[in-house]
Amino acid sequence: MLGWGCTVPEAWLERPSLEYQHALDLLAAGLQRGGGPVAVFASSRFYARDLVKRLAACSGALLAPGGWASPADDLVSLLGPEVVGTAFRLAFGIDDLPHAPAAAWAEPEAEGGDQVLAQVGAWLPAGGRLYVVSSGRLARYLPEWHGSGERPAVRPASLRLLRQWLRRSGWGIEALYGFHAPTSVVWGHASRLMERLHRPDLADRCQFQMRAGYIRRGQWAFLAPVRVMTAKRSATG
Amino acid sequence: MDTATIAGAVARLDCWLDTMRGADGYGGPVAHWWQNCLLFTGAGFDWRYEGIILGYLSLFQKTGDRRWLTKAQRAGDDLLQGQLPTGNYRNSSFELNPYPGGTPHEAACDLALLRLATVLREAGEPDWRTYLAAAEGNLRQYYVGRLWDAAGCIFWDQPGTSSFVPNKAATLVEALLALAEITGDEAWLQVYALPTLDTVVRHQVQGGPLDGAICQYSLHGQRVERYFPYYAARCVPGLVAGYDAAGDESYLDAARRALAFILRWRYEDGSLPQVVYAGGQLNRYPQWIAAVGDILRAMALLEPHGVDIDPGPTGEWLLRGQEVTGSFRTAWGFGAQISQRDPGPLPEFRDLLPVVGWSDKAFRYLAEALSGGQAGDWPTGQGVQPLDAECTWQGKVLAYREDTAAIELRRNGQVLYRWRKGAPWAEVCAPEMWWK
Repeated sequence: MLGWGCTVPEAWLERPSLEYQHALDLLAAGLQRGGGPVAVFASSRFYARDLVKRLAACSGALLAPGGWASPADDLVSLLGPEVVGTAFRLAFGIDDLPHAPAAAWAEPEAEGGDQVLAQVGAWLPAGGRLYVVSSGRLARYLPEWHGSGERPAVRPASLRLLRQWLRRSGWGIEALYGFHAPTSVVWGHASRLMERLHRPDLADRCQFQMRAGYIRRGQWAFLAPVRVMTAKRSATG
Repeated sequence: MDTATIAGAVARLDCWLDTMRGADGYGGPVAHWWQNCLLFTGAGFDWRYEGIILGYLSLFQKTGDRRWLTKAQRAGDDLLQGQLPTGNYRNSSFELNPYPGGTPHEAACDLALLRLATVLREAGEPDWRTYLAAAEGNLRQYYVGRLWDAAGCIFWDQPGTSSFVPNKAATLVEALLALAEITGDEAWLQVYALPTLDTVVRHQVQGGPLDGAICQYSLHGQRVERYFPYYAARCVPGLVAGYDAAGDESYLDAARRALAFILRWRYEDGSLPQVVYAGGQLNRYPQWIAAVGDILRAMALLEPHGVDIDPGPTGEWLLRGQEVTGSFRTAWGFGAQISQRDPGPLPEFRDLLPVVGWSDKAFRYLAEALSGGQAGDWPTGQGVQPLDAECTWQGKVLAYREDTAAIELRRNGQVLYRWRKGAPWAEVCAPEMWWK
């Protein structure tokens, strides 16, 4: 337990962009719905920190594909003080993960992502559900991808590649959600335009219209900066 | 409002608040002007604890009944459990949850803890120091340690961002003054609270049709000219407390003018618009219901200072918003937030959705409005009744239900939203309801 006046990385106090907040909420709600322990494959501290805080009420384990953390590391130093008192731990490897009906993967890297998926497929029981976050090209405009802060991923796998991997490995893709899809982007621009035209009342209304159209399913989701794909492991996969 | 009406309303609200408790504290979904938080429903250690703790303390002080002190202390213990080693509170960001570092929420929690400590000290309870230490830890480590800009004598709203939000700063001032009072350390008053109040006053409009309005925030010194009557009311307690502590008439004058601005925009039915803009435009909807408890409090605080106000219409607007569950409706007109046209006959889902962090405003005001000596004739048998109602969501008519166990929304029998009370996440939330 840390004492008063402890120093921890500042990043734990920061909120990610709304796109990532939506995506991570969806993952957390989905994982908790299954009950029991949860497993998280996090490609970066960025994802690990935000998922652990959302899953604080669960017992669970965190795997760090890409090796950004090792089980010997202190979770508080890595992720911040919010992990104090949670039942989350760093897993030594895939065999160290709890049995769970669902897992979150945030997010697949273009290099090595297929190997992680093979591990997930071998571990998750038939019918198990996988929630995958994917940053698209437009995500590069989000603050997470600028400056010297921690980035969500090094080189995210494209959705096309992710779908290929999933299908080849016998996963059934259930749904695709995109956050801040084109229509909401247009409303966001309209809001800024109204602000410049000194109509903050209309700017606010455009902002709410943007929020109302923030989430898109199916093909429109491809164009969103941040997406979540849900997939189910087949009985034979 | 007669005493029996108020006592009945408070008794029902107390029963409802009990249904909103989970293992860690008071939870539930949030609807707000800025953003909604419908998926995460875990305990939020934010400004909901201000109204809950201070409301229960008022009930204890008015009735002498220790069960209210026990409830206030139980809520204080939630905050202690939710406090991080850095002094911050988990999930303190209300509509932005689950994130720590929420403003004014952490200061509102501090204020509640400090008042709890004061009451416990007066009652001779030895553990008052624990609550004082928690609040002081937050104020020292987070507010002074991370948000205070010593060169500019200003508390920024977030670490590393030069934005100032008057209503949040006013809540912080209340906490700082409470800390000065309980510790006897004048530095909290002189170094931090009064310069902060001076900055709040500088954000107030002087003259013209918006005289008394207080802008929502400033960024890099540039004022953002959105004027929310509700947030102006949230500035009043800090200004009055500053006047009481320092005797500076400018604070009282600012509080009076803030309230005058609010009253100029009050509709006949006692309700208020959501936001007024510098050019005279306004966005009326959604109009707060439960939250007008804070506006009524501002009126009550200024009454002893010679401000002649009729709170009647606003009090009636508030009481009409109480449901059979005991909760208060959040608002009227969420469905018109984009169009700003007449919302029509049915409430939107978020209008009906009871939010602890709004109902606490009604709870605190009503508890304070009670006259003393209610212990013997406190209303009994005020259990929570289930509520079945029609509401709308994105233009469609839906069936809403709330009981002691859950809040549920259905369309043609299909569940679109279900939160089992006490759970940290909604059990069902259809994609069209992921609207933040």
